[in-house]
Amino acid sequence: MSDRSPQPGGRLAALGAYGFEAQEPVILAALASGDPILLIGRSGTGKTFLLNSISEALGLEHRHYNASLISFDDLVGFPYPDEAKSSVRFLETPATVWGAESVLIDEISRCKPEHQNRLFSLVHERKIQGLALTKLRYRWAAMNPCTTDQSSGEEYLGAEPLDAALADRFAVILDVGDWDALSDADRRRVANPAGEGVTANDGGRLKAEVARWQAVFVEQLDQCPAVIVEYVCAVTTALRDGDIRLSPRRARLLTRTLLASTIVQSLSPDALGSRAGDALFRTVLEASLPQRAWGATPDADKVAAAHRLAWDATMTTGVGRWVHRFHLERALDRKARLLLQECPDRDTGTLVVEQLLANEPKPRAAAFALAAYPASVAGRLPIGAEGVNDLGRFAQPLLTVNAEISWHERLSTSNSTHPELATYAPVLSRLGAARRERAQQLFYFCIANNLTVTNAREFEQEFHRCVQAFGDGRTA
Amino acid sequence: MTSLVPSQAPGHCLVAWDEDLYERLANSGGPMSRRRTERLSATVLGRDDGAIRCPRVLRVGLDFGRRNPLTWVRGLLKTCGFADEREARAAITLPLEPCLCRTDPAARPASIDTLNPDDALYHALVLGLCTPWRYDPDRPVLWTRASLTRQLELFDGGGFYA
Repeated sequence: MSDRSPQPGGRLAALGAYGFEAQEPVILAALASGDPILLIGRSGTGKTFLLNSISEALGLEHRHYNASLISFDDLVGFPYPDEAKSSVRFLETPATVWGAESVLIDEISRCKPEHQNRLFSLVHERKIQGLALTKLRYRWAAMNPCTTDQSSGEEYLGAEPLDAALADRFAVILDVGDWDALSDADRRRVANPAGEGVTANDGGRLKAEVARWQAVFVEQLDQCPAVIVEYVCAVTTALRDGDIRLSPRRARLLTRTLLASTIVQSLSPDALGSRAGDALFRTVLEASLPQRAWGATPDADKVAAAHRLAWDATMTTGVGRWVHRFHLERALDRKARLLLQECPDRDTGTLVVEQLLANEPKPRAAAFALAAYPASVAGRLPIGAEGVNDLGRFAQPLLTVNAEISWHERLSTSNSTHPELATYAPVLSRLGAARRERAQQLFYFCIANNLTVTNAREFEQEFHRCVQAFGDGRTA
Repeated sequence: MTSLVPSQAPGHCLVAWDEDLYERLANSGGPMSRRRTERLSATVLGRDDGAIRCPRVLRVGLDFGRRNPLTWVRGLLKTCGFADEREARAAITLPLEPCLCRTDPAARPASIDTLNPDDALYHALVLGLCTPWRYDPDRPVLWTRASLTRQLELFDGGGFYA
């Protein structure tokens, strides 16, 4: 895939790998951080070529394994007992992994489950059979889209969803575009066979830059800019609200990749809030979602919305930033604590309470209002009179419920209870007296107003935590 | 038991007919369920038998009849010897703590014709410190037609967080 003249500007294009311009900052960031990369793409899209070319440009002792073909002995060498017969050694060959500085595991989704388990420690810990691979710097893998995630056309027999735990060890998971994703110029370069078989060589430019980035990355790890950490916390919360789970480990990997990408792109902490920073963070986020590896591609709109929320919450300055944080936080008790402990002023407190009551689903708004109203009347909330009135308007029908409810009863039964009452009864029966009375008010209000509560137990628990927050230590 | 019987519909010769089903439908006589209705009532305010105690502190309300509440209250101030509501507020002891307010469902407001002036002024001052949701002793007295004609119950909300 080489046509060395004319060269486009990208560092990867200089190695003959075309069509990676948009993803280049993330790939380079992973080279700086040394974290594992997983490329997902159809056959013939240049995944293997890219990674092999990078290893050539960096002058690495490289191993390229095809996971569907290798046996474990290929990886570690033939085992034999040592002279004292007290331990096992492995007969090294040029193909064994022991001296490798970079490893590419191709077709990782096609290997046997027992091999996946062994590769797990290789990817995660740079170990195999419990033995450290001291020289290993880079762990890379490539796979075809798994069979549950292919829109049309080619079927990749044997390409299974990657184990979620293994996929979560890859810091960067990139979709490699097909022909349609290439620009006209890149199509011509890719189609041109000139330069085929030539070792990638950019005159040591990439190697020198990676060395410099790595040094800065190691130096900055202990002083990671606070906005990066805050962004990661915010976006992880926002994604989880959209049912896209990021593990705590993933959040940490995302922080590392973001830090490395800002170093690669020479973005100073002061410039992170720029338009370029916005685009970079979104690119890194999209390349940090492991779900594609097991065929559950996250909804792009949800990811974009989560990024926007987190970006605004992190990069907006002053009062607006706190307002974004408040709304980003899903749990009502956490909102309560934010309001009580960090609200900048009464006007802002009133604003967020009004917005919460207007925007949350009605059962949740009711729970918050009921928990907050008595404290607001006592003057313990940093909100103005308007905020207290809004809470009171919402909470009063909750403090006293008096409504007629009706339901259908089968002729064959008698003395049935309202179905919602029957749902809430087991939840209420386990609670202490005061907690039960509060929860009962909330549930009765929901029944009287035909409000559906999806998970009554979790809802009650969240409500109770919220009461505890506003109770200021008075509630058990 | 299913049998084949001639259909009445033109163009259809035979339809399947379940005689058992026919018998059940013919004799069902009505719907299979009935609608039940119950009243659902619960409160945490003013109860003295629950784990949550939010006792009633006060019940306030004035019946002005056909008189203008604002004019009447201004006249009441003069009758009681106060120049304005601030002076009256400073002289009369009112509940010290903020309270939850609830519109009194069983309101029987006291007629201004039967109340003595001191009691009437007490009610008027409390009403002037209330919104429909909160009694706030730290705010200034605000008399409007709306505030003076409310009938409210005041509750101590501190027990809610028991």
